Amino acid sequence: MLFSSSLFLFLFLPIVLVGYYILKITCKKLCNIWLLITSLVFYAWGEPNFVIILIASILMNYLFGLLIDKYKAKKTAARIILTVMVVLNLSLLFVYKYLGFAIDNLNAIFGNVLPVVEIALPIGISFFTFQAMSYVIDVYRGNGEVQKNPLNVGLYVALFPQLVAGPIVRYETVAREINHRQETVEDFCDGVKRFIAGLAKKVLLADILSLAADAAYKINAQGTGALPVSFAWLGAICYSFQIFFDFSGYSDMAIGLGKMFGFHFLENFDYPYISKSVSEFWRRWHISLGTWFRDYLYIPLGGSRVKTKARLVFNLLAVWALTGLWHGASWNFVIWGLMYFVLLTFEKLTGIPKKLKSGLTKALYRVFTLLCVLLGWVVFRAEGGTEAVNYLASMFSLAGNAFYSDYTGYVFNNNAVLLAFAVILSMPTFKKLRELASKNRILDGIADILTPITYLALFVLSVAWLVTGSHHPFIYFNF
Amino acid sequence: MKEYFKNFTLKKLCSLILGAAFIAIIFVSAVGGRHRVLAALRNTEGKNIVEVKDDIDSTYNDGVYRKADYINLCGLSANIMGMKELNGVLKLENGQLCNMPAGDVVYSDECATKLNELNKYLKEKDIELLYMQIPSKGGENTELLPKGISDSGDMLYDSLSASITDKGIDLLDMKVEFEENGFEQEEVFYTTDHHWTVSTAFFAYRKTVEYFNENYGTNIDEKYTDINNFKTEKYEDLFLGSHGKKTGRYYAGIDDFELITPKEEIDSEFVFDIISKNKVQEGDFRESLVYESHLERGEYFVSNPYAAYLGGNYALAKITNKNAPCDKKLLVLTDSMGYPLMSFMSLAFSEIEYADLRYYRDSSFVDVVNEYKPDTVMLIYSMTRLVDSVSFEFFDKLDVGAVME
Repeated sequence: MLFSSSLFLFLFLPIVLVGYYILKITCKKLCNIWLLITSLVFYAWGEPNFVIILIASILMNYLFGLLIDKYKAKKTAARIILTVMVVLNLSLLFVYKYLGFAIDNLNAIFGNVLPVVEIALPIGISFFTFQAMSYVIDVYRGNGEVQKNPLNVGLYVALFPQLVAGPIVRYETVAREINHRQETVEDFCDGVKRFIAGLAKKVLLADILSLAADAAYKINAQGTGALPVSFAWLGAICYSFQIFFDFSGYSDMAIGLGKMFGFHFLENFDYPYISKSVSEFWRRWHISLGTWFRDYLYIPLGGSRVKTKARLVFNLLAVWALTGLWHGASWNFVIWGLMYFVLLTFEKLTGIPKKLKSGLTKALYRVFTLLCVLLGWVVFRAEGGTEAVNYLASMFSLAGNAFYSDYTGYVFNNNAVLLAFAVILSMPTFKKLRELASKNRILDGIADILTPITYLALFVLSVAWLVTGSHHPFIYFNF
Repeated sequence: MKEYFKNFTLKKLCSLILGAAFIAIIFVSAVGGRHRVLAALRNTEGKNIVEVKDDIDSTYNDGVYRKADYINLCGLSANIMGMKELNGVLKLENGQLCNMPAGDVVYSDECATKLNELNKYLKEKDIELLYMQIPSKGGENTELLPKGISDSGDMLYDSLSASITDKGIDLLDMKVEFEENGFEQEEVFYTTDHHWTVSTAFFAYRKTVEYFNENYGTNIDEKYTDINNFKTEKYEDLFLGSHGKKTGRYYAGIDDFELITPKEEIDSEFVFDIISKNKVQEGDFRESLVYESHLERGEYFVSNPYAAYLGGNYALAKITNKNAPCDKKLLVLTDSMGYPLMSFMSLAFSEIEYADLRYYRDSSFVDVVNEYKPDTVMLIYSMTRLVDSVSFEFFDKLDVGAVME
């Protein structure tokens, strides 16, 4: 079930809200159980067969949490339990997500020695596996109390707002809120606002711009030289906006929904396209994943505080290769991750862009950063290395392709208004305007009055596009 | 809660209004859209829980409360943003809507070959075969396509026409007729629908009668095709066509609809036997062949004024006119394009039995030919029929599911 569906908006969400708040008044203890049951229904709705995997993961990590807590004082035993936990969780992920990929590659090297397997990928397995591991690791580190009640572990792992597309909520973030949260009118209304913003980003920007991106890749697939240079760039830009507004929109909806039930998730995106460097980009993009790898892999490996540059480079390589691989079992994701390894290593070792002094060089580096991100998305979106190479070649007129086609003009004109909005909303434009308005009492009042009107209009418009169009891609099925 | 209202600012009030409005919308929509869910929950016999869930999934969006208003709003916003494409529908430069072209399509002679086999089969039985080819919107005139969009429709149309003519099959080429008689696309088709207008269908009727008179030895009097012997009733802003239902009334407007019926001088008594539904209607033209309920003003997204002629899609039906000037029996294969045309043709021909291969499954088409024994077989096909898998299967009994238009 998608958040951006009429079924979720007008059936699932009202039922969950009614049930939750009735229970809150009549029998508060059952609120968490209600949320857990409805979250499992949410997952089972789209994946009836794989809900068992989710429940198994919950139970496994619940038991590991208890074991770790029991042997906390015995460091060696606790470490062994932690290791076993990591191995088992990653094994689960490996079997469902990477086994086929591994076999294909081994067969390519050694010549069809292993039987080919086709295993369906449970949606959200990367998210909930990482989240479940976060629970046990945070218990181990003492960053959160162990949950004696398996239902609470279940709630933490399976809570529907963040189950299939993140953000990856760290246990320490919500540990207290599982049993001691306070639902307030202010949070609820804030949550509504956030949810609407996310829905609008997804339906009004991401889904519509995805058509232009898909068209570019479709032409690219027709063969070398088929995609004009200008359309290649247009398609890449549209995809960059698609993935940003889709992913950040989903995160906004998750954060908003969490707030409606008293949970406070951390931000997952912070205007990444205004970044001045690649390092800054990864502090603004998919923050929950970046911090997960930083706190659970990079820092335990030594992080930046290592004795040799070789060790630093190794640590970065481990993180970025795995970050790429986390996104999907395909070489293009690994290459994408390794691209960032190269760029971030460059920045770490040279000290650029901190060393840049002039406005011009800083501006140029910012453009360079954005260009790298854009080209990275081309690789990320492509289905295989050949498609990625063809597409990149088309962007730089290396494929014997024309510069322009009338169809490029058609696609651009059809999306011009949305592209303009996409550019504006990629920057904290309205945030700044709101801050400016707040300095003047009258403007502040006008802004206060316009806010609910604007958000309601966005909600109604989003629903209009949702029920009319049939194109609402779910791009996280690889994750 | 008390704390919240203690320092109650304008900002808090506005925030509260937003929250309350959101709750109101989703709950009112939940209640308003409950029918699909209840219908799925009532219809659970022989189904497991996953199948019931799939039923709800696939139908819920169709029953969203006030869906028509949302579609209208979507179309309005797309119009404001200057979007030429919405929900698989393309807006031509003249403001008319058509299906988004499928892209480059390679012509296949398969349909013409099958038609030729049918022609040979019918010739052995001394039955004439006439193929009426109707062009589609958009592809007919590339000047109307937005710059950058190409449509293979013209190429397919011309290739098929040439092949049919080469094979010696009688062809009534409506694209040529439209060009020779100065028809602009706006006159041929509705703005918001894929069908040709009733006036265009009347023109096609006139051309059909002329063709029969010139080629098949009939002598149907001119009065049966003289528009002055017909009444034209105009219904303004009545018809939101198939493309319009996908994009809303504010994307390209609403079509007027014309009802053309014969005056008393040429009217007759008809028997309309809807064989596949076991239903018979008798009376004059209006009583038997016109379904006035489709002309009532109601929900644009539900009504279909085009079905005012003959009432809708039927697998097999027959129209009999005992007082017709021509006693030829016609067996027609058609889709919805043929509704108004066949209604007019029933004024001239004593019997017209028609089948729609998208729905007919009782036997093969040649079985129908052998049973009905027509004088002439006529195919009234638009280019859409080239891409379905059933419309040119004449010799086999079809067992695939119904093919939608």
